[in-house]
Amino acid sequence: MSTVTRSAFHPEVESYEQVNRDAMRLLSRPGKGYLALLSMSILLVGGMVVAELHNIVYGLGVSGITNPVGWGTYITTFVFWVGIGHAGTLISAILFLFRAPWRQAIYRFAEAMTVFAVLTAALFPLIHIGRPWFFYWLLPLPSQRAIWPNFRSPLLWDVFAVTTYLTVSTVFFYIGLIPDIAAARDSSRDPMRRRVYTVLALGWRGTDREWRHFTRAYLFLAALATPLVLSVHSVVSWDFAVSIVPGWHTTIFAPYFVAGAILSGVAMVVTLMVPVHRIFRLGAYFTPVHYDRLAKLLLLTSIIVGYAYAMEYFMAWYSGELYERDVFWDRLTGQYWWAGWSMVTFNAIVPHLLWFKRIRQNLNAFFIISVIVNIGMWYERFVIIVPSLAHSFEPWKFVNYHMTLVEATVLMGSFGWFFMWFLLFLRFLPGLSIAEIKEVLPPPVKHAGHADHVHEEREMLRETLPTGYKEWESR
Amino acid sequence: MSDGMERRTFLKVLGATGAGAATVGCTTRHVERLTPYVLAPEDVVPGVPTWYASTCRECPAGCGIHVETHEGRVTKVEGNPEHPVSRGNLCARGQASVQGLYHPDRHPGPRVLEFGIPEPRGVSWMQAERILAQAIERAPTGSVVFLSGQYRGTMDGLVDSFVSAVDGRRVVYAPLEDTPRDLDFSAADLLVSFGADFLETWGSPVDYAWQFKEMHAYREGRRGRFAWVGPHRPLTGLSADLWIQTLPGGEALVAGALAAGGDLQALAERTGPAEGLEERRAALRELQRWWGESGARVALGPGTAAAGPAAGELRSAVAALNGRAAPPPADLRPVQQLIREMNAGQVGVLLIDAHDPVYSLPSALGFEEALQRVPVRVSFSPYPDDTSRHATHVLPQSHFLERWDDYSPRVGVSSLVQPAMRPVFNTRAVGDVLIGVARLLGSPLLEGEGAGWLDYLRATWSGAAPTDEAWREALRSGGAAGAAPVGLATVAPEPEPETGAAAVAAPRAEQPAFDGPEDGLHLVVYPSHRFFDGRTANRPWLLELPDPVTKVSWTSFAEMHPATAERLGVGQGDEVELTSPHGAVRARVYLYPGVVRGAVAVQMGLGHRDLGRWTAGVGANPMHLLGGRLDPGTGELITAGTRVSVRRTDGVRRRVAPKGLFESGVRIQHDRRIAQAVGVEQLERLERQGPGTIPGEMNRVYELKGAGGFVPESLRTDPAASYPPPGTQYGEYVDGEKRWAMVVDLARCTGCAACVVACNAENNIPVVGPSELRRGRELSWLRIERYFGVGRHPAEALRDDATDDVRFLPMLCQHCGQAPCEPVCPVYAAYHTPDGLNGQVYNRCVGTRYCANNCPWKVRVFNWFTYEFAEPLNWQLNPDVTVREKGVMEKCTFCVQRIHEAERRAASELREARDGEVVPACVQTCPSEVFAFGDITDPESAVARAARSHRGYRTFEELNTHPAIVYLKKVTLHEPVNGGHEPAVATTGAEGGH
Repeated sequence: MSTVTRSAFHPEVESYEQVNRDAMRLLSRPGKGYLALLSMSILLVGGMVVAELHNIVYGLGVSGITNPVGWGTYITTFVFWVGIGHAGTLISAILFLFRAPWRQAIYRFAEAMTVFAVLTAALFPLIHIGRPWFFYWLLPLPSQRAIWPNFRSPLLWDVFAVTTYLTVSTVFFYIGLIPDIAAARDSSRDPMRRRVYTVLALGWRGTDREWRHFTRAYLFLAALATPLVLSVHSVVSWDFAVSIVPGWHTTIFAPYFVAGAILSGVAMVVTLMVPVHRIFRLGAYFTPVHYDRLAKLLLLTSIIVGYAYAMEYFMAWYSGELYERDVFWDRLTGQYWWAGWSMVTFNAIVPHLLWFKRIRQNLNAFFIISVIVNIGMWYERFVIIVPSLAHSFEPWKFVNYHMTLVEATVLMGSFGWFFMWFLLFLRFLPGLSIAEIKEVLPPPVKHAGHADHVHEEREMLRETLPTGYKEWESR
Repeated sequence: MSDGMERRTFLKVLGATGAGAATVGCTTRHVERLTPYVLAPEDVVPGVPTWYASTCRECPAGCGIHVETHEGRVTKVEGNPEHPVSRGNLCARGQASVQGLYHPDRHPGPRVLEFGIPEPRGVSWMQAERILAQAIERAPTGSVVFLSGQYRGTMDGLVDSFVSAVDGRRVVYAPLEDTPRDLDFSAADLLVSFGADFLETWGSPVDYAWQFKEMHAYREGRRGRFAWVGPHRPLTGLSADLWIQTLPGGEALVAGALAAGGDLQALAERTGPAEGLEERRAALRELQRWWGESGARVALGPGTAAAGPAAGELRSAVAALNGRAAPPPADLRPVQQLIREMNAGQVGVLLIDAHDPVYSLPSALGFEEALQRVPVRVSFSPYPDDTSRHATHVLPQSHFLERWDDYSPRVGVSSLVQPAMRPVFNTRAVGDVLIGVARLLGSPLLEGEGAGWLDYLRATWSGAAPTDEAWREALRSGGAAGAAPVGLATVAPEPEPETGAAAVAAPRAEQPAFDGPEDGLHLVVYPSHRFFDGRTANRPWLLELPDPVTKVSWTSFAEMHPATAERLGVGQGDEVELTSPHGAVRARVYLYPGVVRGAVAVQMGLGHRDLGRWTAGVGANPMHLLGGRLDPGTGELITAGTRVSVRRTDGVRRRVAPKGLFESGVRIQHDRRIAQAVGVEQLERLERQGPGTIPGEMNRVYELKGAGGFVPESLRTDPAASYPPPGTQYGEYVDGEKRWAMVVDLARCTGCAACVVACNAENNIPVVGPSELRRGRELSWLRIERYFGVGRHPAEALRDDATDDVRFLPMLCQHCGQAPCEPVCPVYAAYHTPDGLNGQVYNRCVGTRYCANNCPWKVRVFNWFTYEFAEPLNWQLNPDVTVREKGVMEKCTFCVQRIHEAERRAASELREARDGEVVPACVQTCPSEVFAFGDITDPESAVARAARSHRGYRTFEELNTHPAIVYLKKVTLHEPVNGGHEPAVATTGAEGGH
């Protein structure tokens, strides 16, 4: 007879078998709600395809961008999705390296989110350029054109940064999935699925030797992915910072963008986690500990972002630069004053509600805050891009920008595209990391003599818990 | 089956071939067959343009032109340097004449409306002439009337002999044409214009713009003065140093008092509105002082807008001031008489070869109604204008670029008009038609069976060009130039008896009589810089070109003083209805302090019912508001004698309304110091201190030098400096290469925008249309910025003195030495050429638009769509310049095709290109010669000499991009008002308020 010992993080998870069961439950026949969500996502993607065909057939004129506001919704959304892609790697790689034990239950979602967010972002450079059929000119391909791309251009750095990030995060995601795919292979009854999982599992048998290689490989990949968390959004920020446009030409941009990216990424993790938690009844895995940690991460990055906002305005004033001052004044009072104020309020003020434990613990409140931050982060990019271009040096060209239906459709379609992949992921790949959750569960013990040892281990873990959760945990 | 192909194999091959052909067919959208010349014309070298000398007939000025043709198609028109009127320059309307030639809605050929058939029927010219001859034969004797314009050439004689041959008579209708074209005020010290917009439509604008530059622009410490008298400041008025605000009719009082030597100050109460009395008194005092102390002084006038109830008095007063009578005004009494006869049914055949009388005559005269009473109405108009839509016989004449003609712009100058290509449509010269009809009627106008209009013309020219050689020389040079223009300024004032000072010495005591409501606003109708009286309103370039003053395109507007608008409760962009006793029109309000309080100004030129797809129904025609009142003395149409009531139309929400009137750009500089000015006295002080330098010659930049941090470095950033600059590493630059650069003299720029249209014509720049323009998507590579104020508060542009120091600034690519657009392009579409050009390779561009974002001057434009050039407008496209497709960035290239052409020509002659040999289109056409262009590294080049000036500055120089364009500050008479730009105003946005 085995002693029932619980994990400090997942007290409601009784056994390894339950983890297996719950993880496979996600892959079983979906409900109506799931199908409805998926159809809606695909519908939005269809809309995006039609809108993009407009862009290609008629020309970019169908969007609202103009001279001098050359970048609008498309680039805003690009930066938004690249930013979303950050939290995944942060959670899966950096927290892995730091051995944070609350990572295991959520990292798979976060990683999937990263891959799909970057996949979404990668669409936008193609959508936004004037002649998308020549996009390959941006790649350093040896060809009869006999001309390299311009390595001085930040847009080219972008190409490298985003493709590197997409590659590494996809590989990282896939490597982590292998043992779980093997588990799915072993438990799946559908012959078609079995066959696919068999291929994807790369013959994983779960031997010691395989595990040794696996953990090494995972560690190295984590180490490789970690600098990318910082580099990608730094490079994206240089798209702006390297230019001479007032409001863009700022040294603070790289850290500012990284902090903003983590803020938006964490918010998106929460936005995704809460519905999944509710729909798939994953309370045993997504515990208040996780939400608490995420809330604190969100609060921290929000404070950093708030500081960056304050610094931008301070520097604009302190520099005495006419153009700089005008641009920042215009952000708060010009045509897009509401976007400017939304950005400040949503990203730097609203998250401060998370100082309160009651709000942190309230899933609904946290969810709403996360959505607000997501909206705020979209506006942040919008406010950086559009008013700066609309109000730069040349007064004769103070022109404004209006989003068109085509752009709005593409924007919505990007969400459809993202959610489509995410929903398919939930249905076809193990959303819970079976292997890693088991790592934090106390191993099943046969003999009562082990109880003391298990108890000690548990007490040790208790020390790492936040205050206030001890009571909750000792229920 | 034996040998040979089996049926199945055959079908397979057939299918494969078909599919292959279809696939191949998909790769090119338009497969066009290029047919080489079988027998190549001797004078046509493919790729090398052929030039023909001719004369522009877009307005009465009659500028000599050179017509560029490529393989038999006219592509561009430029001024003829040998011609005394144009001096090689051309205005915006002249540049746009090719669009008149290729307008897709020209009448395709002769059409005749026959009894019983509702639609006009297309006929051949032979049939058309026969039908017309029959109609004339059938008409009662003496009922044939030829309504013509002012030909001032051989056509006059031809038409006269035609009408006498058919027992008819000729009536001349030539609006806005009877203004003096023979003045020479280039050496004057003072110009006083009484509403004469001589930089736009009055007299000979290209010639006068050059003369105005000579007398008014700053040169060697000298600068003439210019005063504008009138109720409204059009473009010409904005160049004035002094504005005497009057209400309509007040000009005559000022001119009269000036001629009689009376006290001008006393007129202050009587010439203008109640407001601004003190300012007006001061201005009048100033004018009197100027007039007194100036040696060579010229009065110009009256302009069309000044034709108030006292037009006759003004005319004689101006004549007295100059000591020389101006040509008599266009007499409308014969037209009035004609209308009476038409109404009475006395006109059987009316042949109309005048500029759209239905449109341009005041509708109150009733020409349109009377026209219906004429059984045979013949229109020779090439366009479907408001007159030809009433015509029973449409006999479209050839455009002046397709026909023979001659024109005498002023005494002693006879210019030839020669066809530069075969007619685009099935059209003929009016001369040929008249000769043909006369021959059919049995009274030939000239001998010889097949002789036509050209033979007639040559016969007239037999005196000037007796031999074939002389004729060829006349064709080569563009005509015969004789006497120089009349040197008015040098003529001592010697009043003629009948127009002498005594006749005008006593100004009238009573107020002139005005039509319309007592409490209404005075209506000022003025001719359009772009459309003249409306005859050029169908050229897309001109429609898209922003009005040089208001910067409004594609529509009409009602200009009002802000205080007047406030009193009426209307704001910028509100639609108002102007109602006079004679009619009503709708237009949108434009707040403009250059209109006197209590007046509203409406431009002529738009509001056509037809005239092609772009013009029909666009804008408002102010001629509907005018009564048919003529000046009793001269028969001149009174355009400024009407008052109108103004009412905001319902259903226009104020928040939405501004969208109804799109004004390009802004009115104030937002402290950006982009268009600078300097007072003439300050400039003289500076010049006494020593010679000027090219701006940027002694720049200081801070460079990061290892542990030393940022160290100040003396650095030459001026356009003539060698590249690469020390300490930087740019592989593209070659030391010792030339650098193309430009100098733009703001003291000369009048804002006329001829350069903009020339640029459109040269560089195949499409027109985007009003809705795209509204989104800021115009494609012009060159724009004229117009600033009413230098600060940041919008109210500055609405102040009373806002029009006193208006700055015009031609803005184009600055061809920076360290261009911000170049490093950001991922595909090297933006790159630097060794000779300092900032190149743009269209075929490399993928359209990221980063370059445009990073351009501080915002001179890069993007092809949002693939723009259409409606057939046959596409015939105009310059084959030397690529036509761009959607998704490609473009910008000013300094006309790189012209640079290369000149360099190739020089190379083929085994020499270097000479200074002044490379001339971009804008530089070529500018009537006031604002631009200098050349290699600035050569210190002796014109551009380097012009750049070494105390007035030189470069825009946004602090960005250290080393622009190649040096602007020379505008020179104002007084220290610049509105505080000028020195010292730099750097108020915060927070303090400024928006």
